[in-house]
Amino acid sequence: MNAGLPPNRAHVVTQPSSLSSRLDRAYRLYRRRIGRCRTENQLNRIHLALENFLTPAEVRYLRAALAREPPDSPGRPWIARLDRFMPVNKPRPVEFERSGLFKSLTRYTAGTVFPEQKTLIIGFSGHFHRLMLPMPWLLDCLDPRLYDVLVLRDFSRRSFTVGVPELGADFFAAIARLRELVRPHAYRNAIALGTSSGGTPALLAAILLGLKRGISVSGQDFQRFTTRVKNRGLDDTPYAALLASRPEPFPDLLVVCGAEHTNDVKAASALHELVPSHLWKIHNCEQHAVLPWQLAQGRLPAFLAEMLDQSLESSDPVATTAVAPDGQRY
Amino acid sequence: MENAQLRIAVLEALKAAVPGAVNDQMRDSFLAGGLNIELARLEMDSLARMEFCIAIELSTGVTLVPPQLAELGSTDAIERCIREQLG
Repeated sequence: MNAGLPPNRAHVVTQPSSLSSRLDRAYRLYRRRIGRCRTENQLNRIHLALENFLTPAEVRYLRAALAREPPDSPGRPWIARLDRFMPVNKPRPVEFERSGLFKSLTRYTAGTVFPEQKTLIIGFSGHFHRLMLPMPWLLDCLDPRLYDVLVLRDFSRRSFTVGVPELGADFFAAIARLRELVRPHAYRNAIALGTSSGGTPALLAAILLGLKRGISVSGQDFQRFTTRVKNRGLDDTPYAALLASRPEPFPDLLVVCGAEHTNDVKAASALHELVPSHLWKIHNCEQHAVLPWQLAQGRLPAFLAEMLDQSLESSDPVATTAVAPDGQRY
Repeated sequence: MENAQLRIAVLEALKAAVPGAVNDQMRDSFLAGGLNIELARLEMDSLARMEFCIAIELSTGVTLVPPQLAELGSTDAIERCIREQLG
C-alpha cells in the first residue's frame, strides 16, 4: 500500500550512490547560482528559498561541501548558521527525501516504511512559505521512520482561499484533491499543522478531512480570515459552515500563541471561542514566531511532541508540560 | 522613478515583509505622502528585514541591506536613501 502520490516511490529504498550523486548535483547547482549573485540581497534570496525546501541530510552535505571553500565564501556563514540551529543534528538510519509534487506542494518522506506505521503531517505554510522555521530545522526533530511531511505553500499569500494552483481553485477543491492524492487515512495518524496565515486553514482542513488533530500556531482569527475572503468577492458562507460543523469524530483542535503577544492572544482567543479547541498560551513568549522562540529555548522537539500529542522518536506517549491555572503553558 | 512609484515600491516591500502591518487607512495615507512609518513599530525580525530589502532591490534596483534599516529607521528615511542612490 502507498499513500497514492505520484511518482510511486513510496517503498523504493534509494541507493546511497544515487543519493550522493543527487546531493552533489544540488551542490554544483547551488554554486552556479551563488556565483551569479552580485548583491547581498540576491544571496539572501537564494538562501531563504533553500531554507524553505532543504532536508537535514542536504544541510549536512552542503555544510561539508562548503567547508572546503575559502573562508570568505558567501555560503559558509549561511550554512554554518543553518547547521548550528539544527535541533537534533545527527544522521539517521534513514533520511527524509524531498519530492516537489507541484510547485506549491512538497513531500518529505523516507519512503521505506508503510504509511500505516507513520504519522502524516500536512503543513499549511504562512506568509514566507515556511512553517515559521527553515524546513530542515523542523524535519530534524522528526524520525523519518515515523513521519511523512507534506507542505502546502501559499504563493498567492491569500490564506489558501484561492486554493492551491495545481490542486484546486478554492480551498475546498484543493483539499478534496489533496485527499485523493495523499489518502491521509492510509496513515496511522494524520495531523494538519498551520502557522500564521496557514493556521486557520489547518484547522478547517482537519475538520474537512476528518483528521485526528489540527493545530494553528499564531494563526489569524476567523473574523479576519472571512473578511479577507469577502474582500476578494468570494463567499465566506462555506467556511463559516465548516467551522460550525461538528462531524464525528471531531478532530482535537489546538490553538497556540505567545502569551505576551497581545494581537495573537486576541486572535487565538477569538478562534478558540468559535470552535471546540484547546488554547495554549505560551508563557513568557512575546513573539509571533512561537516555533523559533521554542527553538531558542532549546525546547523545539519537546514542544512539537506536545503539540502533536505523540513522541517524535518512538511510539511512546509523550510527557506534557505543566499548565498554569490561567491556561498558560510553561 | 517618480515619488508615487517609489512610495508604491516601499509599500509593497512592507507588505511583503510584514503581513498585516499596513491596513487600508494607513495605505491611503502613506501613498498620499501623509504617513511616515517608524520601522520599530512593525516588529520586523531578521527574516522580515531580508524580505524587505529583497523586495526593494527587485522593484527599484537599489541595494539596501538589512543592517541599514535600523539606521534609517523610517519609511521617509528609506525613500530619501533610495532617491539619493537613484540620483
